[in-house]
This record gives sequence, structure tokens and C-alpha cells, in this order.
Amino acid sequence: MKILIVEDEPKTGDYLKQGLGEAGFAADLVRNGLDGMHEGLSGDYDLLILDVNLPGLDGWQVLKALRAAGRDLPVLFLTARDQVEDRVKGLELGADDYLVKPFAFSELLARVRTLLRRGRAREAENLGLADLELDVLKRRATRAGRRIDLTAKEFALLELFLRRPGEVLSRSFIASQVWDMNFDSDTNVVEVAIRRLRAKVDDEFTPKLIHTLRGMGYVLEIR
Amino acid sequence: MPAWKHSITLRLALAFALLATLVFAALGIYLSRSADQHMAELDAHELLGKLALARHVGSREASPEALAARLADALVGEHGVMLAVDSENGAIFRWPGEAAGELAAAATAVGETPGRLSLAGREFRAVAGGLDTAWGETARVVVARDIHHHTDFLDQLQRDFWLAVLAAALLTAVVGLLVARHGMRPVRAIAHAAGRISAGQLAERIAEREVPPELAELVQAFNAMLGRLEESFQRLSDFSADLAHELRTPIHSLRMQTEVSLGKPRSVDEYRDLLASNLEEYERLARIIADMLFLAKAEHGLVVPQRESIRLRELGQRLFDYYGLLADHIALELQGDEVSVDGDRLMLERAIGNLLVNAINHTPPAGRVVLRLTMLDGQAVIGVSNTGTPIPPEAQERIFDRFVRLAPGGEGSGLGLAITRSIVVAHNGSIAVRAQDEVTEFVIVLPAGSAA
Repeated sequence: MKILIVEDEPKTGDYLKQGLGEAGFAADLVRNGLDGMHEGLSGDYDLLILDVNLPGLDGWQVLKALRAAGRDLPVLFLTARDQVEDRVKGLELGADDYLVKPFAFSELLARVRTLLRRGRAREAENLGLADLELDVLKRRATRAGRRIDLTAKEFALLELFLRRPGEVLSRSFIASQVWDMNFDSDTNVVEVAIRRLRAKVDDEFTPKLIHTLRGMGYVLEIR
Repeated sequence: MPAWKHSITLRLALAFALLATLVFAALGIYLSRSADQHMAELDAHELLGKLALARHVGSREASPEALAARLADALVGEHGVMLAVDSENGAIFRWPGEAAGELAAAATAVGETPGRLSLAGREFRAVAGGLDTAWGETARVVVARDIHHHTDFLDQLQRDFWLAVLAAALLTAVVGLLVARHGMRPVRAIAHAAGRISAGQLAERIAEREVPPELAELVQAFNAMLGRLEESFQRLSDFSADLAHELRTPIHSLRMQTEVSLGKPRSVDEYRDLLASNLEEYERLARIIADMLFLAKAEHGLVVPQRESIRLRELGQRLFDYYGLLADHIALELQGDEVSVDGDRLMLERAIGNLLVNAINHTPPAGRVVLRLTMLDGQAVIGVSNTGTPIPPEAQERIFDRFVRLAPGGEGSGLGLAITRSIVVAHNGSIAVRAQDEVTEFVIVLPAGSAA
């Protein structure tokens, strides 16, 4: 999966490239709007990460030019200003998602994966990792063949993890995906939910599947 | 337009002077007309008297010579008067000399009504009439009076008068200038007071008592403006001070931690711990900044909620699903009717969520948190109450201010309630807190939605 990053702020750009590279994407970085437009028009990218404030052409103009040329790759724009007009403008111009700086990198990664997944084959109905299995239609979870009783929200949480194995999920991403809560006030609700889910899914079993990455979030994987 | 044309003082002084000039001039013109008329009347009286005298003498005396002698007798001592009597046969009498003849010749148009006449550069008033002499001839009498004394007098009077008018105008201008300057003194006092005011001295006010009633309104408006300025300035500097203070603490600890950690080589795990701990602090900082920005925008009316119909019961249920995870050993209750408001879903979720988190955090085990939804007089009432130690009354007023934490070292940024209030205010609502009998309740009142 090839990603083009258009970002003029040097550190942000470099770390975006490094982070996306380490997450398994091929990421290219350009540092101004004009290069961004050329690369976006000529290169074969699957996703564009576009800063709005750019020297030369700004992000809006790049986006307009790409859409006018019929390029319909997904675009995630980054803005430093949390203005409703900015968001509305970006989405009207054909961007697919946005993030307000400062954002958590894990948040960006999650959005990127969502955008890349969009429009692909129907999501699987049977999910699993190691001996953990989830039947999404029947709402049944088993581990090592034993039935696990989950509440609706616990089920949704586990499904989210199973659909994104190996991905770091930030607390705010989990809160918004599972509870539709978009303002993470300084609480440890997600922590509590994870603890309870672990008690049912992990405590009596090996290997442990749900891991905490301090300061970043949680990940489901076999270690 | 040059500045002096705007000077109120100058304009008032000029207006005074103009007024004085007009009044004096009108008076002067009136007086000089009356004097002129009065003198004309005196002259006419005298001339008609002389004409009557000549006729009387002429009707008695038997010969032209006798007539002349009698008239000369009668006119002895008269100065400035000319009298001529002529018959068809020539001059009968001339007084005081031959010049009277020239006058008589010039006065052909004059009749028995006194009229003016000039001759050889001199001004006369003259009257003429017929005379039936005793000896049977018909004669013509012309009486004239040199009036240069009168005209000289009037001219002098007018000159003096215009001088007086000029002096009066100057005097009133000067007096007007002084009066106007004096009257403008309160205005200068206001200007002076305004000049003293700087960012550091916004508490300065102009004393309203010392100002004339005409300017009281201006001064009140000025003082009110200062009040508003002082308030926003205070808010702004409080804001900066608060922000600096709130950011300094976490940055200080970040720095200490990083410096100490870099002080000697450590294991990878230790470095990882450090970075993770830093990350948590960064997140906290980012949240404080975002929250402060939100509050700053709200204070300037820049937070504009989107308007969609929101069913509060549904929203409350969602909040319960989420924050309920925090409520171990606490009963959560959702009471009341389906209530709808028009508002911004995310903002209201945040506002009510903040209240719920606070309530849950301050409820002791076995306590109870209630979200109560009611319609009252066309308004949506949202109550969030919890059992436990009530908020002391003296803290209830400032609890909505930013960075107010009731428990020292309390959790959270201390911005939650401030944000809740600004969201409610942006929705044209109000929020209050009340506490009694071990129950604290926050009550939000919002205008009911159109779909309610």
C-alpha cells in the first residue's frame, strides 16, 4: 500500500513517514503543495495524507486539482485549526476524513487503515486469533472451545480488536468506535472496559492476546 | 475641513459676536432713523412757521418795500434760514442775501410739503407756497433751512455707533470665548481622565458627580465602556496567567524526568517507560490547550453549535452505557420523559458527559446518580444529581470557573464544568447547581426543540 504524505513541517513529516513505514506502508514525503499535486497526479498512490497549510499551493488547492483530474484516491487531511468551516470545506472538496493537530499517531494509523479498507470485499463474519473465535452473525465468542459470555459492548470491542489484529488502537478511537463517544474527557472508561474484557477472554488462557502499550493504547496480537 | 472650523469654543464665540452685532446694528438703524425723522419734523415745523409768517406779513403790508422791511425785522437772529419772496414783477425779498434767490430758482419743484434740496454742495430742507399780497399781486414764498448741522450730527452718530457695534462684537466674542472655554472644562477633564487610562490602569473612572447634567450621559457611557474593557482585559490576563500556570507544571515535570533519565545510561525498558510517560503528559497538555481554545472561542461567541434535533433520553442512555463502566457500586438512574432539544450532538454529549463523570466521581459507594429529564414551561430541564457530600455554598458560585478544583490536587484539568457552561450558554441555556440533604444537583435548562 503506497501512501503520499504532503507536509511542510519537517519533524512532523519525517515522523509520519517513519511511522507509516514501520507500520508496513510504503510512504513518500513531499514538502510543498506543488510537488504534492504533481506526485498525486502522476504517482500511483492508494492514499493521500494532506496538510492544509502548505507553502505554494495550499492543501485545498491540491485537493481540488486532484479531484478535478479525476483522481479519486482517499484523502485524509490534517489541520491545525479546529474550525467547523475547515472541516466542512475539506469534506465538501472531496476529502474522506480529517484529523486536527495535535493528534495521536495511533489515531492516524487507525484512520488510514479504515480508509484503505473501505470499498474492499465484505467484512468477514467469522473472526479469530489463536484459539479465540468470534461469530459475528450469531454473536458468539469462544476461546479454546469454551463459550464466553460477553455484553453487547464487550462483543463490539472484541470484534473491533479482531478486525484490526496487530494494530494499536488508541483509547479515543476505541471510545468512538464502540460507544460512539467522541469526547474523551480524562477518564479511564476504556481501561475499565479492557480490564473486564481481559478477565473474560485472557485471564484463564494462554497465550495472552490483549496487550497494553503504555501511553498509546491497546493491541490484539500473539506475542 | 480644518480643525478650527470644528472648535466648539470658537464657534460659540463667533456666534455670540454675530448675535451682538446683529442686535446692536438693528438697534442703531432704528435709532438713527428715529433721530432723522425727529429732525425732519422739527425742520418742517420751523419752515411751515416761517411760511405762515411771510404770508401773514404779506397780507398786511401795503407795499413790497414794507413787506421786505417787516420780514427782515422778523428774521433778525435767524441763522441757517433762507427766505425769498418773488412776484411776477421780480424779487421782493431775499434773506439773508442774494443766495436766497438762487435757492428760490432751484426750488421750483418744491411745494407746501417740506422737501429736500441740494444746492452748491449744501443740503437744504425747503418749503414753498403762494402769497396774496395786500397790494394785489400774487407772490411765491420759498423758505429753506440749511440742514448740514443735522446731517453732520447724524453722520457722527452713525460713525460712533458702528464703532460701538464693533467693540461690542469683539467684547462678546472674547467673553463668549471665555464662557465657552469654561463650559468645556468638564470635557477637557474627561479627555484628561481618558489620557490617564492605560492597560494597567483600567480601574480609573471619571467622577459622575462633578460633571454637568448635559455631559452625564457621555460620562456614564464612557465609564461603562471602561468597565467592559476592564472586565475583558482582566479575563484575558487571567486567561494567560491560568494557561501559563497550567502548562508550566506538566512541562516542568516532563523536563525533570527527561533530564534525569538522560543523566546516565539506562535499559531500553527504562527509556520506553520514560517515553510512554512523556506521551501521557503530552496528551494531557494537548487536551488542556484544546479545552482552553474551546473556552476562549466560547467567550468570544465563536462557538456556534450545529442545530439538529436531539433526543436527550437516547443521548443519556448512550452516556450511561459508556460512563457506567466507571460506576462500580453506584446506582445509575435515567428518569423522566422523552425530551428533545435543537443542538449540537457532540457538544451536548460533552456537556452532559462532563456532569455525569463529575457526579460518578463524587459519589461514595452505594450512592446514586440520577439523570433527570423533564419539560417545564416549554423548556427542557436536564438534571444530573448525585448523593454524597454536597458542594459547600461558597464554592457553588465559582465552581463553573476554569481551573477551579474543589479538592486540592484533584483529578482532571479543572476545565470540565467551564466547558459545560460555555456549551450550555452557546445553546442559549443556563446552568446552575444546588445542594441539599446530601444531594448535589446540576440543572441545565435549554430551550425545547422544535420537534419536542
